[in-house]
Amino acid sequence: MRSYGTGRVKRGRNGRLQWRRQGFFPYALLLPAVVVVGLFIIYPICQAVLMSFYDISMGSAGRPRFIGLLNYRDMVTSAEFWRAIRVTLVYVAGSVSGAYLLGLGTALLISMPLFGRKLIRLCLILPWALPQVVVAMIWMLMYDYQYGVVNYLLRVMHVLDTSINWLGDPSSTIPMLAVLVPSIWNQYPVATLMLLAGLLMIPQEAYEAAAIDGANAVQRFRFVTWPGLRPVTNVLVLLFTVWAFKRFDLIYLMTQGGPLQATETLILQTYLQAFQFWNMGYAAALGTLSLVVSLAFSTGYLLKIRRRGEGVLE
Amino acid sequence: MRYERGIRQVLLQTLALGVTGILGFPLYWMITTSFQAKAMTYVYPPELVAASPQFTNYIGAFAGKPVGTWLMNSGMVAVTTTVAAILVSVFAAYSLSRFRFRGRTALAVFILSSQMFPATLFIIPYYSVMQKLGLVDTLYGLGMTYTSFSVPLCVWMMKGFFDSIPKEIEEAAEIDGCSKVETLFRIVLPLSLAGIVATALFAFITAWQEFMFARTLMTSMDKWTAAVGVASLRGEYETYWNDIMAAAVVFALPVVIVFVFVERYLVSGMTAGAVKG
Repeated sequence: MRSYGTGRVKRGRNGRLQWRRQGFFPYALLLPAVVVVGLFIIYPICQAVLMSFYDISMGSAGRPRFIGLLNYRDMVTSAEFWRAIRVTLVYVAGSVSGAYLLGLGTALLISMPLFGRKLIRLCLILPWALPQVVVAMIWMLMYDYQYGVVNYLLRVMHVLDTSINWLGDPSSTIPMLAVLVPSIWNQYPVATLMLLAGLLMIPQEAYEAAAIDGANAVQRFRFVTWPGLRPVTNVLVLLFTVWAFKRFDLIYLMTQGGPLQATETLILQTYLQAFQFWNMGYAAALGTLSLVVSLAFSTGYLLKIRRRGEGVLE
Repeated sequence: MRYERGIRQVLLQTLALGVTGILGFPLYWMITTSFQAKAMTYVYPPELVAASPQFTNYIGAFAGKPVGTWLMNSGMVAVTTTVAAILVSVFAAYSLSRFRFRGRTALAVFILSSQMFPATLFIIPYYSVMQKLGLVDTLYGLGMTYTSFSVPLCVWMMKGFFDSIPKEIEEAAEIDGCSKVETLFRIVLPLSLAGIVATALFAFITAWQEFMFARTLMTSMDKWTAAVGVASLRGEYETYWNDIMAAAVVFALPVVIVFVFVERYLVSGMTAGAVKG
């Protein structure tokens, strides 16, 4: 056997599993990745968390003052913060469910026998290939109040009587809707691809058995398709939620969090506090909170699906 | 493929066509606008099909601003990032997939959890770290940044691909006298080539279109990446949508082209990487 050993499991004489002696080899393989991640990601994160305990703002005039938890106190007592929480919840819920449902619908559609299926699949997947910057530009153009095609088509179809200022309307629902649509449009193909693959992995026999038992199309979906898609759904919901929570480019370019902070998610607020108001310490506190929320959600979600017996990270 | 009978198939096709038309409309709009005559941009009702298509917008987009430079910057950074990220991740993924060792779970969590961190958190200290290293406004700095961001996801994806290769093949190779390293290069890598391609595409797309860090770290206009450049075209007072769309098409084109070619690998890639067997 090789001198550096291999990670092999074998049964010892007492029947229990034992690890064979490993060498440094697996650690050596991991080293570059760990160094890169540690240096460029973990280290700045730790620094940022530290920063959240300092007052680093216009007021502190270049000299960070240690203020302990004051940033956090300011945070939980600020109305803008709680509004950002609400906005984030709405955005994430809307974006995830919208992208998932649209992905499911298109995946089911593509799984049907269609003439020109490959081409249709390609066209449906394409929105994902566009950079967020481009998506933002296209939709800003389409949403234009006077000359935009969205207003035009909706009026021609008599859905609207007058044009809507999609990105600037003072009600908070319209801009939120306006921001959700491109978000969903950009993301849904990921769901389409993964659900399509998931659909293909459901064995035909399950459908046949259901048909023999007299199930109609709706029942077949409910009792065969839907449970069969559960592992993929778990991964997708987790992935989409993390991505939606993190999303910056699209919202920032379209509304900068406006109008009147109607689309200012937690991430947007963190950025604006840091680079518009130069409240670095406070922004770091917001960012640390985002981090905690992100980790808590992911861990909770992973634990929940592990308990149910469907793994993601094995 | 067995088609449905008669009318059902027609209905299905119509539905598919309708859905594709609606979902593909923004893409169509981008392309149409990029070819549209400038005089027709600010017109109501908007012309749905460009009556006199012209290429001048494309020329105009390149003439006014250094769009070509921007694109080259994006290209260099994206390619470097992809190569570096894949190199680093392959070994890490192989280690996580094929070995069992103490601290394996902890290291896996370490690497993968960084994927979830919101970028706005660490952009704040990041700028000052990069400044101290003298890497602000350099494409090297940006490349290193992107590589570090890509590594976690690349490791995750490639681990999934490696997991799906049956261990028996490697055991057979080992019996034949291959070392672990040889097994990696001669057997595992060729077998998982599709997955590696998918992962590389992911890394490339992410680096190509990244906006926030590029905007923060690159200060001089000729060092901008295309993402920052295209976003900047929307001026305060005048917005030449035709030029913007032309630049957007060119910016999006490389990704779309690669995408089209690799699409079928993506389908298999996404399942292998994400769903357990």
